[in-house]
Amino acid sequence: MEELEKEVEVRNRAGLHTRPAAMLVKLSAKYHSEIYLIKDGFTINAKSIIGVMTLAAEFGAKLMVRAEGIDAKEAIDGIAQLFDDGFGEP
Amino acid sequence: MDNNFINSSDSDTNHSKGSGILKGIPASNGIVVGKCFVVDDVINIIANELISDEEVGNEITRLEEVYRLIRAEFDEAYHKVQTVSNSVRAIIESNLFIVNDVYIEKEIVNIIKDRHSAESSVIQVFEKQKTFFKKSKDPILRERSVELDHIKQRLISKLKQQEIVYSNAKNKILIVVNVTPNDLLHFVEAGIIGMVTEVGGIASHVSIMARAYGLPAVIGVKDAANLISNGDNAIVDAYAGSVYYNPNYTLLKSYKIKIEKIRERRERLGKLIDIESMTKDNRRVIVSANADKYEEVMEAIINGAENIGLMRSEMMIISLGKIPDEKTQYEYYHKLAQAVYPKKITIRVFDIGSDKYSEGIPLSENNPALGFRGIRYLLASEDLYKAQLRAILRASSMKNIKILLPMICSISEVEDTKRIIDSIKQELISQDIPFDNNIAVGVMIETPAAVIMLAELCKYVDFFSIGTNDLTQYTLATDRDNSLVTNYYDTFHPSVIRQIKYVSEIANKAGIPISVCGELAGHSAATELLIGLGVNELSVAPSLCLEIKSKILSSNYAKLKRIMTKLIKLPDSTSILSVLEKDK
Repeated sequence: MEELEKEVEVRNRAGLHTRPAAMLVKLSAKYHSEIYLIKDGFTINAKSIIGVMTLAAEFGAKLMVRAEGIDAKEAIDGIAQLFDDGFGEP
Repeated sequence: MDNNFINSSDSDTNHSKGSGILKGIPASNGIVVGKCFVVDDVINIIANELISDEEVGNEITRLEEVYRLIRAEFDEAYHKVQTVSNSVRAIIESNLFIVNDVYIEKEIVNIIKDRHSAESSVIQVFEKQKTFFKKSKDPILRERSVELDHIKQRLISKLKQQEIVYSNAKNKILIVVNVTPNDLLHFVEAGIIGMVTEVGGIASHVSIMARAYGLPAVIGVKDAANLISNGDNAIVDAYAGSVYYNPNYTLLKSYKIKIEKIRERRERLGKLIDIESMTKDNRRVIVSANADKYEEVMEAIINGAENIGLMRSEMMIISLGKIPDEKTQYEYYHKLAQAVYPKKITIRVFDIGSDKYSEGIPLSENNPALGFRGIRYLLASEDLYKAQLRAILRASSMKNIKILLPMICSISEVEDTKRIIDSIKQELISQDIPFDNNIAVGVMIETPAAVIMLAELCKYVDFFSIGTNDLTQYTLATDRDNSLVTNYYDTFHPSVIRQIKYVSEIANKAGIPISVCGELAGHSAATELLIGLGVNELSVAPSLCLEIKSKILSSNYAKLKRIMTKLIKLPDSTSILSVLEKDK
C-alpha cells in the first residue's frame, strides 16, 4: 500500500473540459488505487467525471494528484503523462 | 378542427382556442409549420421525501435497476450516433460518462441510506453538483449544469415510470419545458419537424444537436408548454425566434411562401458550406461574417462563415447601457472565441462617440462623426482602454482572436495602443495568466488619412480592414445620417473605389491581408469588384455568407483584375455600376 503525490499542470489550451476529463476518468479507472485530484484546497475523486469537471481546471492550472493503493506509482506516472501530453490536444 | 382553423381566415383570431406569439432565442435556423406535440414538465418531487428503514433496501434496488436501464439506453444511443456528426457524438458520449459515474451513484445510495426516497436522493445529489457547476468561473461549465439536469430528469422519470411515446411526435413540432439529448435523439428518430423549449442556452447540447440535425428550434420560450396544447397548429420561425400558435390564415399563407423560398435557397447554397472559398483560378478570398452578439456568431457559423471578420464591441455597451468591466468583457470575448474556435474572431475595440454613447463624452458635439470618438476617445480614457485590451488578451489564450482599431488617422495612435498592449502583456506574464503573445493587431481603413498613410501603417500592423461606410462618408464629406445629402453618399464613387484599389495594391505588396467589412462587401454588384481589386477577405452579414461564397467560386480573378484596371479609370459611379451590372 503506497501513498504518492505529484503536481501536474494543465497544458492543453481548452483546459480540463469534458473530453480530457473523460480521458482522465477512463485512465484512473484502470488502476486499483484510490486517486484524487486536489486544486485550491478542493479534493475530488479522479474516477468521477462530474468531480473532475467540477474542478474546472483551465489552461495553466496546477493540480496535485494523489494515489493510494498497490499501484499508486503506476497511477501517478500514467496520469502525469496524460497531463504532460496535453490530453492529445493543442 | 383542421377545417375550423383554415376557415377562420376572415377573422384575425381563432376563437376556438388560444392563439398568440411567443418570443424566444433562435437556436437552429429554419421555419416550420405544423401541429404540436406537447410534453409537460417532469413531475414535482419533494426533495425531502422521507422513507422508513424497511424501505431503504427496496429504494436502493429501484435506483440500481433504473441506473442499469439508463446505462443500457445511453449506451445504445451512443452506438447509434457513431455515424452522425462529431458534435452529436461528443454530446451523447459526455452524457454516457455522467450516467456511468459510479461515485455519483454511490453518493445517491448514501442519501437513500439516510432514509430518503430514491427520487429525492437523486435530486439532492444532482442539485448539489449543479451548484458547484454554476458557481464555476468557467462559463462553459456553468452551462453544463443543464446536462446534469437532463440526467437527473431521465433518472426521475424512469423511477416514476413515466415514459413518453416518441412515435406520437411524428411530423409534429415538439413543445417541451426541457429535453435531454437522449430524448431529443428519440424524437428526431420519430420524425419531429421542429422544436420549442422553455429553457436552454444557445450553446447547450440540445441546441447543438438541433443544428446538427437541421431541426428548426427556438429555445428559452417562456411558458410554451403551458400555453400551447397538444394538436395546436403552430409556426416556428427560428430565424426570428418567434413561435405563433394557432395563427390565422393570412399569416400561415405568408409563411408557407417563405418556407418554399428558403427551401429553394438551401438547395442551391447548402452544398457550399464546407467548400473552401476561392475563385476558379485558385485565388483565395475568405468569406467572413460581421457578428456582434453570441446568437449572430452562431448564425454566422451555421451559414458557413469562415471567420468572424468584425465583432463591434461597442454593441455590448449599447445593449448593457453602460461600459462593461474587464471581467464581463473577458467572459464575453472568451465565450465568443470558444464558440468559433478554431475559426478566428476579429474584435474591434469600442468605437463610441456621442452619437452612440454619451457617458464620459461631452454631450452635444456639433459634429460627432468628426469628433471625440473611436481611437481618440479610447486613448484619452486609458483605464477603460486598458481594461478592454486586457480582457481581449486574457480571452486570446486559444490564439484565435485579432484586435482591430477604429478611426485611425495617424501612426502614433497605433504606436500608443501597442505600448499599452505590451505593458499588459508584461503584466499577464508576471501574473502567470495565459494569452496569445502573437495576437494580431490591425487597423480600420475608414479615413482618407489612413489611406494616404498606408505604406507607413504597413510597418505597424498585421492586417487591414476597410470600413466602406465611414470611408465613403469621410471621403465625400457627407454625413450618412443626414437625409438632405443622401444623394451624395455614394459608395461606388470613383474616389472611394480608387482608394480601395490603392490600399489593396500596397497591402498585397507588403504581404498584409486586407478585408472589407462595410456594407459594400455584401452588395450584390460589389463582390466581383472587390475580388478584382485584390481584397483577401469579405466580411458580410451572416445570412449573406453563402451567397457571397457562391459568387467567389464562380468568378475568375485574373479576368476581374483586368476589368478593374479599366473600371478604375471611369469618371463616375453611374458608369462604374453599369459595367458591374452588365458584367453579371
